[in-house]
Amino acid sequence: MVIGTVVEGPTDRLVLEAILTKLLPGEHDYRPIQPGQTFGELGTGWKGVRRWCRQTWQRADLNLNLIVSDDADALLDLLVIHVDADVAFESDLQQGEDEPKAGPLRRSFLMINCAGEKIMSACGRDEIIWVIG
Amino acid sequence: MLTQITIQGFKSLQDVRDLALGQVNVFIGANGSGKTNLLEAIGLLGAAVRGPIDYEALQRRSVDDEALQRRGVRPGTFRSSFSATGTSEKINTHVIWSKQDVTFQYQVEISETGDQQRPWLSDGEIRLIDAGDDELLVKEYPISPSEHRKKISHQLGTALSEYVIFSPNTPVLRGTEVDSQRLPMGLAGGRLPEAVAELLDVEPGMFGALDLDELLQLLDWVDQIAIVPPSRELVPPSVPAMRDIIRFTDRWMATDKNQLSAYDASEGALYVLFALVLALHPRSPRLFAIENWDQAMHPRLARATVRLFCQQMLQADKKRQALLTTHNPLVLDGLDLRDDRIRLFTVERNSQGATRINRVQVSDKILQAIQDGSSLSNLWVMGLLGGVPDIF
Repeated sequence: MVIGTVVEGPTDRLVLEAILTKLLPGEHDYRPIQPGQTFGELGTGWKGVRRWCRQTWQRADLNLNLIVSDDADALLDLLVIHVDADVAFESDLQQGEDEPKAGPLRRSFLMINCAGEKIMSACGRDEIIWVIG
Repeated sequence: MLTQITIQGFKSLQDVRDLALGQVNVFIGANGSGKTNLLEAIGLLGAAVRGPIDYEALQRRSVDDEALQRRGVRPGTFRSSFSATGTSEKINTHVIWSKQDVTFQYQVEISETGDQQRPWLSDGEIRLIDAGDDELLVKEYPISPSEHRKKISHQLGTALSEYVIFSPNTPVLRGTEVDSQRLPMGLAGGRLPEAVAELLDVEPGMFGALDLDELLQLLDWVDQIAIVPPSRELVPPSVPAMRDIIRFTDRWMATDKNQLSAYDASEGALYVLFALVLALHPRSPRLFAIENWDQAMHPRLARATVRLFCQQMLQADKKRQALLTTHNPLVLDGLDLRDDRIRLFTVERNSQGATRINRVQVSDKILQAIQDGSSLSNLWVMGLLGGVPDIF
């Protein structure tokens, strides 16, 4: 499988790929995907992941079906977006404001889910698999 | 033309199978991904096909260091050695070569034995296959190393044995350092002025088969190019003596100060000339590689140059085949991958460290994305095509 991974940092990629290789036996083609960045701003960490989601979702020139879909000529068979759960304690979450009383874990979920849903909806898909470890 | 190659057990190329090549092949990948190893594996095969040149090597039926260096291959230990799988015993190669209506399959093992660990050839075999729809086996015969030079040269032509890896560098292109005097140019770009002189015809305005204006459009600061004898005005005494020098006339400088030699002209222009000489010169090898052909070029210059390079390679009467490596994203946008003769490959290491090479093919979706304003360079930089380092 061709598996794209959007992660917070290089160590996360190593761990994630090891987990995926264990879960999905066989030789896989892992593609490290990263947001565009200038001055090193928002390239890493959960903001980097959020930046990639936002950049990708908002692109007018890139049909997200090209990135990941059931179609044989999609570039990826599987897209994995990784965020550490400690993001829940970040103060400047941009999404989930509609549930101001939500606890930090809930807010974190809402934020990532919001970005994920936008991406998946643009891909014509409605499935997000959450893996919490 | 070399249409397909399998290499197993060569450096990081532990198992690269059925790599299908076109006429112009561009390889992108992180530093250390194995691009150079691929070029060198073909060089080793080329040296092996050509046969040993010194008497000792001839006796040992091995490939000598000099034969490798002349091809731009660094002598050394070639067998793969991975911590997980150990050292490979031999290097397996299998090439498929098409020549007019016949396809040749050539399979041979290369081993390294003896005190000096020099590579030597095993017995191999050649299969001649009719390239028609039925792919009929016409002839099959084993060959021993002593027959290699004669039979391979006869069957494959001399193209594989002509193969060299060019690796241009600025001091040689400027003339401050010298390299071999091979034709049409040395591997690092020596003899560039003579090669340019052999193609440049100012009066009708041609550079080989190329309209000179098309070349000058790439070099927007250049008004004229000429080949002239060296003079103190253009070349300082510290530069080694040359028979000819390239003289550029700057479009904007004052008329008494507007002439520049390769010594102090923009180096990007020298790399452009280097690449186009190889595409156009009648004595260019029929199969060659250029490592980092576009270094020192502005990305847009590299994009326009690779476009022109491909065009000239495909139009030339003498069919040549090239392998280029690059790190420049915009080069991808200069490749018209809708033409099957132009191919792009990503090179990367798998989880065990072995090199993996994948062809990037343009699907309808990629074409749609390009029409919508995206680009191959964009997709590559994002990481979606593979062949990028995992460095944040």
